[in-house]
Amino acid sequence: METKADVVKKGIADLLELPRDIVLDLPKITLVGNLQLYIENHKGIIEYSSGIVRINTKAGILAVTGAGLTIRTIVVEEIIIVGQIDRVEFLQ
Amino acid sequence: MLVVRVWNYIRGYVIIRVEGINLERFINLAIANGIYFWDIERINYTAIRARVGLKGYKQLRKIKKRINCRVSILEKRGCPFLLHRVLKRKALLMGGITAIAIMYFLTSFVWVVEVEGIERVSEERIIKELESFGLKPGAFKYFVDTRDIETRLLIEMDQLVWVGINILGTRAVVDVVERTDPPSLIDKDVPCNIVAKKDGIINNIFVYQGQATVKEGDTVKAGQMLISGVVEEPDRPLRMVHAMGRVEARTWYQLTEEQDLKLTERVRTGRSEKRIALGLGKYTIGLSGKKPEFQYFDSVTDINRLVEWRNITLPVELVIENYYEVEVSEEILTIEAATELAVERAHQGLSGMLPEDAEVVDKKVKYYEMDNSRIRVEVVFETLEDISMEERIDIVHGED
Repeated sequence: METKADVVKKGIADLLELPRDIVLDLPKITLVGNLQLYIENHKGIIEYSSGIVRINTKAGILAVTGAGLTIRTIVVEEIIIVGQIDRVEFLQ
Repeated sequence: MLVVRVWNYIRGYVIIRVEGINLERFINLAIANGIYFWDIERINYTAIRARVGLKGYKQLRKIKKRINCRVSILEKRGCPFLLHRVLKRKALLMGGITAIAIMYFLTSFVWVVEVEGIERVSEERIIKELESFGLKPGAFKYFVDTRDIETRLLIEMDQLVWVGINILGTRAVVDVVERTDPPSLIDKDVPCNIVAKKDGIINNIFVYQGQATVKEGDTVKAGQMLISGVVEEPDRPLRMVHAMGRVEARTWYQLTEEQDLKLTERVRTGRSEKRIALGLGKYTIGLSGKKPEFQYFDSVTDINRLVEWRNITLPVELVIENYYEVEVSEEILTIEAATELAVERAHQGLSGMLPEDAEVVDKKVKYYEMDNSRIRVEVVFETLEDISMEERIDIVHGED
């Protein structure tokens, strides 16, 4: 569901070679092995249990499945999830 | 991350259990309000466990009202709680303060008086004098006026030239320098003989008073009488005088030195390492520093023990090891060079042995090759010196 403004932003980002995560307000996700997941620029958590964590982002809902998941840190900008991570997927 | 954990511990935090239906909303709302959570764990479908700072916990109350959930504290951790617990136990706190106060009080006394630098003066005497001036084990150290005691001790004891008192912790270290007395002379009125100080051949003899018993060219042994204080003259009674005179003799000083032809020289490069360790009985625990990585080094070890008390030595010591890096160079000397080195050393050794008034009249050097790697040098100094020494005449009274 891209708006016209998003299309323009994307064009400018491509033209000026700016990082897309900043211009488009997208999440930046870093995965360390299958042990730690680091998400910058999230929009809040939707579901949290030890088997699945669902996080709202601008790019859609990010679902992390695994076992023994805990939230190491949660602040407005970032979340760190640790545990055994099996799958990371976007639910559109 | 350790830094963050330590910081959280210092600030204090609580482990909380949150029960409710929509806990995700609780978390979102909390972080939107700037409350910092960490280590969030799901316990079961309706409960989570999390850690939150003290300030954050207070702010949670507002959120609790908006969302239907229950928050309970499982554990309190960190310095503020620890402090609170300690402050609540008044007896413990008082004990701690008292212990520190007692320790401070006890370190305000001098417990040990050490005297350093004594050779002839008795240590007991100095300690007794110091005691009378107020410096003794058990004295309150702030009342001890070291400058004043130094002066008074100097006045009281003629044998001392300089006194320095330093109070180091509970030890009072007294450094003294003794007066070096000139050799005692026999009084002019007391009859005496002149005897030989050492072996030699008489070169010159001047008699001012007394009767010479040797003549020029005689070989004398140490202790032999040279000028007698008992004067026998025909037709006169026996006289006892204070013999005086100057007896100049040829004496010899000999020194043998050996020298390896292979000369190894160790020169410090200036780089050094320091290692401090705590010695507990047989064991040592490294405190700082490490073994040096130098190829060659000299090591100097200082061991500092705690104060001994009534023959009890605590098995605790501080070991300071200094390592100095050295460069080792080897050189093969020619026989001439080796001889020169050995002779130089022998000369130095001999000059230390010579009395001040001795006059060197001849030097002889002999050298032997011991094997291919060593030489031996024999240096003989022939000197002229006064070998006279006064010796009291012991009058033996015959039995009547």
